[in-house]
Amino acid sequence: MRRLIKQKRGQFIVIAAMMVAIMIVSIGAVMYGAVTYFKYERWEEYLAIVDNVKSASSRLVEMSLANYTLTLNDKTLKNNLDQWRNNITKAYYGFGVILTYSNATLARHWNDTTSFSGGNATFILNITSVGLVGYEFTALAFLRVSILDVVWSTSTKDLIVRLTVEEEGLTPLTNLGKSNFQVEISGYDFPDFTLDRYYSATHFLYEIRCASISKQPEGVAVTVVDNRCVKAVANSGVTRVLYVPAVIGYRSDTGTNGMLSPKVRIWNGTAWSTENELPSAGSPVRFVRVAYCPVAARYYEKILVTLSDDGYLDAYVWNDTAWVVTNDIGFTGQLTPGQRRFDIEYEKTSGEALLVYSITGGKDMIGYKVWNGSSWSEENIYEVTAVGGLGENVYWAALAQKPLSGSNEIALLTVDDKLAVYGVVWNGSLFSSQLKLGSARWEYGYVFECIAVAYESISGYATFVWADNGYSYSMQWNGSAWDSSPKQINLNGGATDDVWLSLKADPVSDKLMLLGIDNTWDLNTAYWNGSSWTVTLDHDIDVDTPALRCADLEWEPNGSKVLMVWGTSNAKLSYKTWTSSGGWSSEGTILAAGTHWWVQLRRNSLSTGATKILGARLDSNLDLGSLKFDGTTLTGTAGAFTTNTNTFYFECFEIEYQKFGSQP
Amino acid sequence: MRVVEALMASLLIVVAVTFINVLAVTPLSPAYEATELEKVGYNVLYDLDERGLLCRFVYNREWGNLTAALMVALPTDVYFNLTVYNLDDTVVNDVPLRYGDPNIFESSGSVASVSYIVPGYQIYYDPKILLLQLVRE
Repeated sequence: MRRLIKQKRGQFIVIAAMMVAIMIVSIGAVMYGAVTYFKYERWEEYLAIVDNVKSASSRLVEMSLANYTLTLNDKTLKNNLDQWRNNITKAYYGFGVILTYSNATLARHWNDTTSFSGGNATFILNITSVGLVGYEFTALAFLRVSILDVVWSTSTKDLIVRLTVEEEGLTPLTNLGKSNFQVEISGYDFPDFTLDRYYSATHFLYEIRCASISKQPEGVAVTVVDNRCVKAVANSGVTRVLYVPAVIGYRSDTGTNGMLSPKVRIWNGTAWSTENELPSAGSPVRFVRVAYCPVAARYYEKILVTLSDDGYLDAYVWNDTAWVVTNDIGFTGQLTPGQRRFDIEYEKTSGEALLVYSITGGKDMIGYKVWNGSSWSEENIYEVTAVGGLGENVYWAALAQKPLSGSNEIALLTVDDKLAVYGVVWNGSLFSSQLKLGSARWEYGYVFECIAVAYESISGYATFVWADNGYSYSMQWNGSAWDSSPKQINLNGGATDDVWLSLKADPVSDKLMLLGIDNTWDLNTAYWNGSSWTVTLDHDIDVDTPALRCADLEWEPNGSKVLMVWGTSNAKLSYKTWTSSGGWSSEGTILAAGTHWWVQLRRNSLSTGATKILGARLDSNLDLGSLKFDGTTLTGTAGAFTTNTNTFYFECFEIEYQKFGSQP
Repeated sequence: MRVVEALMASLLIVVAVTFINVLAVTPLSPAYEATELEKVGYNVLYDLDERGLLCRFVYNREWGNLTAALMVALPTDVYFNLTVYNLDDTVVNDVPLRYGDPNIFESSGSVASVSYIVPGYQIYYDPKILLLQLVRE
């Protein structure tokens, strides 16, 4: 024993090693215990239970909301939660799962432009086997439908509903399809529709388009059932109706420059704007022509061209900001011109505009310039009589646009001071195919506009009409060839001469309607059914004057009716309507001061809005008044545009509708 | 004498370290395998549920689609056996929802098991419990 005590260093090493070994073994035991605890306590399973209970409870609230919105049973959520509370304990038997709930609510606000359905409940989860107590979470289900606008177009008869659909957190729902939507329109129950989805600057939008809604509906209801079966119903009236603006350009001795400056007013679908004075033309305005751009990208663009006392043309282009004038853009070769020796028309597809005008030098030479959307071309010259003609100077020029998509063709009809009538075709680049159609063979054949041209809307055949020695005639250009011979139109029995012609095309068929005033003051019409003319004689035998075109007619935008208005007695305007089934109606009248020298009608280009046809009339008081036809009733206001045109000799005004609709 | 004592001390340390090494459970140990598979299994079921597929397959009894979805979602070396129960413990699926050799679930020492509850489908409350067993090949 003494020896062991004496050998202290050797014992110390062994004792130290034993202590280290004990420490290592102890640490190992603790680690082993920890791993064993972790392994058998199944923490992942507990976390999975918590997660599963949370997500399943949210599903339960969604399901209950779906049930409530479809059955309107507001006890659904409470009943489901009571069962769920019991079932969840049983489902996780042995874990001690206890789920309680509070603040369980179901709510809906429907039949408004912004409607929603919502449900929520607050849960507290305890898992006694692991000592988890008071774990609180909230389950929420929500669906909101907001109708942004409802637009109905009278032209296409389409009803367009734009709406947003959002779920919890106002997150846009982007995965809905047509089957998730149901549309009810008053008077149409469940119309078929198409559905588009797209992002706007601020929303993810659903666009519902219902076709063939023939009348403006009072309201629309959209039911949305999302992919969870949660439903919400939103309602809205029609918030916007597309209308088509129009412009009138006219001469008026008003404003700063008086008759030197043309004036314009804009139709906003309901009323005409106040007068706007354009820059001076440098000489009193005599004739005005207006054309609207047919290209959507430049829907606002319109060109107004005036012919003034000095014989010069002035062109005004509205570029959506201002009227830009090009003064003296062409010279018609005649001071104080008594005839409209020019015309302006757009090409249908390119959106380029063609300005045609008479120039001196004989041979029916015309000058023409092209507006390419930003500038005018240099003057070009074309000799209309290049093929066998003996003409001198063009007195009247009329252009018509081929209305078919893809075409840039424009028809030109001229009559010169040798009474020669020519038809020419502009193919988008150059004139060609000119043909001498006939002669306005009566004493004053070039004084009055006894020519007219229009295209059949479906076939695209250009129809040229002219008066010739007791009869009128028509000839068609089918795009590649002329008719072999003209068709005679016996508007007046061959006994008198037609002095004014106005030809208008049905926008939805190949029908045409021709109006003629003869030199014995008769008003006659002829209907073209696509292959032959049917004449109706003597609507009136004593119009206000044969010296000026005191009558006009126009088709409604949907082609169902023709309106004809004419002056025949003091303080009244007469009118008739025509339908293919009923023919001409009996004559009606409206009050209109004075006698009437000029009547002009223009149809709404899209049939959108309540107004089918707009018009203007210039009376013996030198008042330029308005006309408006809604399909049933003709109304008008004397002097609505100006009470002082200071002339009645010239058609010093023109109305044109924009080619595309606008929204108020 | 000191040499003998030093050898004894070293031997003690070596024995202790060897003993600890026997008890050690490293992350690569098969002891973690079941836990990892449970995570994988739960995540797959949760993902199918979030996509709205799980309830559709279960309540419409689209067993083929459910099996295919699990096969696609799980790693290829993981076998599974899914059983759908009513709350009264009766089995809903009338065909086995399984991938892999059935015997492996009995022979393997590390079978993971995941329970997943769904409360119902569309508007109808009708809870089902899904028991997913997983084992790595």
